[in-house]
Amino acid sequence: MSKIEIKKLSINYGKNEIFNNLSLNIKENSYTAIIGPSSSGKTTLFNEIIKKNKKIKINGNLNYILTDPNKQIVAKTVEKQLKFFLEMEGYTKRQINTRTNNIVAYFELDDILDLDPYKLSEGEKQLVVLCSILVLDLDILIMDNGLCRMNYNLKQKVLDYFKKLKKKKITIVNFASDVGEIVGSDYTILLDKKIVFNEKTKDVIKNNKLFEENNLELPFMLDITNKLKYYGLVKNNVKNVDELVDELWK
Amino acid sequence: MEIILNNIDVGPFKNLNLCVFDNKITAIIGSNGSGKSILAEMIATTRKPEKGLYIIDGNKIDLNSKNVNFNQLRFDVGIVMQNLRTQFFEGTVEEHILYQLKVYNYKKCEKRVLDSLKMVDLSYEYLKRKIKTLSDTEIFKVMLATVLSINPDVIVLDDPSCFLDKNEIDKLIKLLKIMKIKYNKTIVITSINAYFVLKLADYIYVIDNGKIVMHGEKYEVFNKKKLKDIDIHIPEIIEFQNKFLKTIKSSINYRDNVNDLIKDIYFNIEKRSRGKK
Repeated sequence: MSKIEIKKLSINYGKNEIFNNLSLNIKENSYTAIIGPSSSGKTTLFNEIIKKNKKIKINGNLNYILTDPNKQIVAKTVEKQLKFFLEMEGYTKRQINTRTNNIVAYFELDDILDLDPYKLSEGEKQLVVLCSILVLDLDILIMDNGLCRMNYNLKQKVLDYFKKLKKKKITIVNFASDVGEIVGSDYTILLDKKIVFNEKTKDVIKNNKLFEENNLELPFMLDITNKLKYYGLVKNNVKNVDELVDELWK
Repeated sequence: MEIILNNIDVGPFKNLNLCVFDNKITAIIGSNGSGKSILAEMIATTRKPEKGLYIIDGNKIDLNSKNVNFNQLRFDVGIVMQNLRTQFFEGTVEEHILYQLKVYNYKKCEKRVLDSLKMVDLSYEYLKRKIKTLSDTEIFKVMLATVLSINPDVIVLDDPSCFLDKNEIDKLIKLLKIMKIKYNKTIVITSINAYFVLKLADYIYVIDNGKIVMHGEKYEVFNKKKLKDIDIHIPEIIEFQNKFLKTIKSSINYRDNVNDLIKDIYFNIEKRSRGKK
């Protein structure tokens, strides 16, 4: 079943045409990364989805994360922010405490719990806002470049968390400007005012040509292994830098 | 222009000493919440220190004294901050850039507007576009154009790579390098994007918990194992080259892009297999 169905969506800003009859289905219980160059319509499509444009059918409950975390800060301390949406949606006290404690432990938020979210850095704000949504029973989570201010290590941690979430049957759609965020996703979609491709991520990452044609940069490890394979210097798949050097130096 | 922060207290930083070298690209890196933006604003003199002095090209300046010429400082240092949309009023791109120029009493403003748009690669069609219809990337470019139109000696960019795709990042790198080499600008960036820093910076400051924990030339800094303890991502291309050099004991140069690296590897492996025969 499709969680989000977009049928023949056309959008223009004055003379400036963004989409012309764009159609797209997002599969249930999948993590889809939507990448695309600047001004390709990522934010526009995101906005149309959360505004529930008539051409877009959403089969389920939608939660979203905006690029600017300041727009989603609603409480005076980080702890209150983490509990805010849980309380609003009427979870029991016990549920609220367990869920908050779990997320605090996973993302190591202990030190900032009593702080005013507005006083945090932009990257920390993004994390806190994301966490305040992640504690809910999610059905569909859609993000507009919501990880962009996070550093590499934190981003990996969030992407790992998404993998855990998938076991709970959650559909995640991530509009990202960083191609690295496709790691761990099921589907990768390249958007450039139309759907350029919509493929399984495991096929996409093997295909250097697809990336070069579309002027995208593969994450380093994938890029270098693909190229070394092309020259016949590496035969097997490798996971990290150590394995790669060993494989080269057999 | 050289800017030295001398014994400065600000936010989490105590007795901070930092030098922005003339005509170099200085990068400030650190994990989320380490204070990068505070330092960017400090260097741009848009945030006052609680204590301490600036030494700008050898002249001591106390920002807390009454006779500081802030207008001159704004001429000297331009900054593009992180929260892009808060730096705008309603109106068109042209109105926004012109407003800034008129504040500083510039003449021939129209030409400056056109030139600055050209530099950031925005077509003239954007002049009449309303700011609120622009994407985040376009807003960043307009902000950068606004700073460039004033032609400051020092350009500070607080985490510019966040909204940009690879193509735009490459363009920005090229632009900033031209600014440095051709127009002798001094450039400061903060970033969480290790590749961007690797490709662009000359000198790096690493900050953690209100302290400068290390600083130096870029390859020197990225080679320190300690970076991992303070949660800084070392670009895999550097890790790979270190491991390669250690295992293979051969002479590859540090590279910042994969295509050059592949040639080195190929050459080394070839040489080795010839040696075996």
